[in-house]
Amino acid sequence: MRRPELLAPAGDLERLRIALRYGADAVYLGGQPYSLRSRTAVFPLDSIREGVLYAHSLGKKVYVTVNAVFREEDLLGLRDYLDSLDDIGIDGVIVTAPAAVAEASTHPRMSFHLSTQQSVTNLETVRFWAKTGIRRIVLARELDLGEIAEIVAQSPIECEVFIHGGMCSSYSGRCTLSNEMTGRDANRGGCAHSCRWTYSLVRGEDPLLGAPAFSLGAKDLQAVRFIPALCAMGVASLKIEGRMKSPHYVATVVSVYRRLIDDVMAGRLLALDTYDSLLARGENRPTGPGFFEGIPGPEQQLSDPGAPKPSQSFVAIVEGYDPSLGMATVSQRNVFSIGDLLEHFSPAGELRQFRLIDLRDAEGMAIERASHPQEMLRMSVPWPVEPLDMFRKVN
Amino acid sequence: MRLVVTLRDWSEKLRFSALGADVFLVHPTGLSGLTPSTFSFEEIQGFIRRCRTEGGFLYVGLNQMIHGKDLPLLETFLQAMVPQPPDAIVAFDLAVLERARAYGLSDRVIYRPVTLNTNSRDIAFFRSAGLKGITLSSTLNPEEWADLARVAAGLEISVFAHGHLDLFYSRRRLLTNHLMRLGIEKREGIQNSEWRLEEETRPGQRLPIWEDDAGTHVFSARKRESFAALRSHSSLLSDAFLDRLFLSDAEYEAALAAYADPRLEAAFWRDFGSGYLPKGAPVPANAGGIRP
Repeated sequence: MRRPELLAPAGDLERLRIALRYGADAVYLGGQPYSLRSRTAVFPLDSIREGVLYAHSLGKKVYVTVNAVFREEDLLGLRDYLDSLDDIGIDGVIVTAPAAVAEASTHPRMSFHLSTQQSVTNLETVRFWAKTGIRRIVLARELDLGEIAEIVAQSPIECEVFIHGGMCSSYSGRCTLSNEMTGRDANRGGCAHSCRWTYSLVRGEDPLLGAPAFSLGAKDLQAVRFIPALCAMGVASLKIEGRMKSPHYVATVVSVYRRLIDDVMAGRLLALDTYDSLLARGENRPTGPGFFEGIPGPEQQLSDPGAPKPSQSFVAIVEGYDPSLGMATVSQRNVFSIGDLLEHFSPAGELRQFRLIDLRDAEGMAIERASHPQEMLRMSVPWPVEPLDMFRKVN
Repeated sequence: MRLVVTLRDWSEKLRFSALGADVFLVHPTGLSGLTPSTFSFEEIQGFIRRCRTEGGFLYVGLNQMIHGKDLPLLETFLQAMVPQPPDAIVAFDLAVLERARAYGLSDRVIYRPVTLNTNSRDIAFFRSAGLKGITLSSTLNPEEWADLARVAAGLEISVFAHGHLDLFYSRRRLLTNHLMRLGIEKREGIQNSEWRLEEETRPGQRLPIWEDDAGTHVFSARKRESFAALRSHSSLLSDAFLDRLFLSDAEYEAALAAYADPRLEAAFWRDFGSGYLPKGAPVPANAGGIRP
């Protein structure tokens, strides 16, 4: 069985390091221009270079999204930008526009991947793109397991499949709802997620009185139970969505899928509930199987936008540890206090709990409560910890 | 430039011809949605023969995403079209182009993905792929139509000229899923043009929503019209598609007549002038965040 790549999102250098430390084989990130996350979570070239050096030092890969649907004015500078990425030594670019696909022949060192924005749903469309220099297709998220297996078995190029995270409700790249509702171009980094807003249904001229409003949005994808099948069918890369998600989310999701893939490959799979429950610690939205089991029914819609969402209590990330004092230096991310029961979470996957008994500010003054975002603090931990380890509050 | 109209049944052809239509778009059963009616492959072959003798062009629209289960039917369709090829096969999915090559029909394919075709290098890419033409993204404005058509050299450029803009296409059964929650018979949601969505902070702005076997579409609240744009750019464009979904037959015919004869435009605005994007207003689809 071919071991699939685990591909994780990187919204910034911190999350890039976290994703790779927690088990991703590769990360994808958005460059400052031409990405679909153009307002936030973008990397200038210097940061891409730094990220690539870090990833390559671990023997891992970096792909850069150049997946906007270009307007004429966007073409100016595209070739120079791709040249710069090539010079940095990135491993691949993820593209949507034929204008970018056409650059594959002039940049043979970089692997060109076709974005899910092209919504490739069948083998014949895969074959079309395979002739253009594309080396990998990110398949549409609207495919069930049987459809994926059929394509992967006969595809002349690698196939990548989304396994976790947010789902467009529309076929990707074919949606301009955001353009209509806000004037922001969904296919050029401006998506306002208008599909997740609250709508009423009207028939003719008459609102359905008393009917609950609903959203067109879909629950996030969670594919734990499908990973064994995806590994068996030979999918080249399993992708996690979420360049805008928190470090804790990235760490949690990556570490669970890392463990799951490794367990599948080693033939030591645990009960799938085990992975589900670990994953639930990082979730911040309701999840479901997406299209893997077929066209989703009503239960897979975000039908009630006001429904309660899962909440997590990620409180701090480790910056360093002084073994002589048994104190960790941490960056605060959410409020926590003396006496809280905390869970230590690390790339090794070990989960250990302890009660916080000593918390100090940067000057070493004892404090009762950590309430300032990003504040550097010191706290007692009963065992050694490493940079990028995390703590979450146990409710 | 040819005016393209959608036929609900063949009996409309004569009337639409008289009003000025050049091209008649029909949709094959099983490979299309978003249409008041579909036709068997045999019927379509018959329409093609009749256009050859009576005049007019016959286009066939395959306006849905193609999944693996659809490929055998696509193959059958293309085989059926070989004896009398239509003047164009208007395809939403590139699988149609890929398979059309095997039947020598790729030069009949117009790639119309609704979005995506947005710049001159996309045009160059598809020109080298040997298709008949592409339809520009509905997010482009008439000046961009003209700019791109000027550099198309050898590739036909068409536009979506009239009707509600298709904004959103999901494989999910969004309407029937919601109706089921409400206890309404789910058949009420299928191919029913009465349903609208109203966003909670935009009262009165109603977006048509349509569901069929290929999924769910949401359309713009207001309609596009392109009377002035087509008058300005008709020498550059090959086809202008006029869509009829959510329009009354009377409005559709009045629009067609006004595109064919500008003297009838005032009458169109008098009788059917509500619900359109303001004349001369920019298409509300241009702002993006590509350069922060």
